[in-house]
Amino acid sequence: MGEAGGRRIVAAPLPNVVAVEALPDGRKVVLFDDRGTLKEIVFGIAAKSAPTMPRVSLPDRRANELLESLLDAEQLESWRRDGTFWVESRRGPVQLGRLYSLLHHPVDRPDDEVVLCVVPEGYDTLPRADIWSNLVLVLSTCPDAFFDVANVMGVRRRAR
Amino acid sequence: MGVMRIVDETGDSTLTWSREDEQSVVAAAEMFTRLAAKKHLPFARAAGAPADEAELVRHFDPEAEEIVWVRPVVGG
Repeated sequence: MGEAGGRRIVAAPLPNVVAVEALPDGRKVVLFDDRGTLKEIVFGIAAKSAPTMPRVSLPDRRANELLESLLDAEQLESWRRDGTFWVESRRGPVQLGRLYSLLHHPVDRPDDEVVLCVVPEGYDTLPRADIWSNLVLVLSTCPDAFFDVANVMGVRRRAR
Repeated sequence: MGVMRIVDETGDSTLTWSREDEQSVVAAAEMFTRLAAKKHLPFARAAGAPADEAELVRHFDPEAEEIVWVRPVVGG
C-alpha cells in the first residue's frame, strides 16, 4: 500500500502467477492462471528510447551474436523489435522469446493458441539468447523432439 | 577451417580445426565424441546460415564449416 500523486494505491498479489518476464522496453509481463485460463498482464511504461546503451555482459553479447546469426531477416527484425520471433514448423508456428510461455498455433486447431513450456537442460546456467538458439535449432530441424517434451501450460482462443 | 560453437554459460565456447592440421582435426573429433556422449545435439550449417538450413549430424565431418552444439530439451 502507498501514496502516488495523492492517490491511495493498494497492492494485492496476483493469484497463481506462472511466470514474470522482462520486456526489452522495461515493462514486465506477468503470466497467470485465472481459473484454468492463462492470462497476461503487462506492467510498466515502455521506454520510448534508451537514454544510454545498456550494459551487456560478454556472455550475453556472444549469445546474442549466435542467436542473430541463426535468424532469418523477418525473425531478426522481430527479435530486435520486441524480443520475440516466430518459428515455422510442420505442426504450426511457435513463438520463442518468452520463457515458460511459448505460443503455438497448431495447424490442426486453427482457433486455438496453445501455451507451451520447453527449455534446454540446465537452461538456468545459459545466457538468455542461448536458450532461444537452442530452441530454434531443435524446433526448426527436429520438431518432434521439441513437441514430444513440451508441457502444455494452457489453451486459449486465438486472437484474430 | 571449421569451427564448433558450444552453447554454454560463457555465451558459447569455440573450437576450431583445419584439415591441414591433423592434431586439430583429432581434437575436434574427440570433442565431438565427448559432447555426443553427454547427449548434446550437433547442428552443422554453412557459416552464418539460418537455423532452418542447419542439419542435425551424427558424426564429425572435418569438411563442415560450422557445428553448433546445443543441449537436449525438456518440458519446463
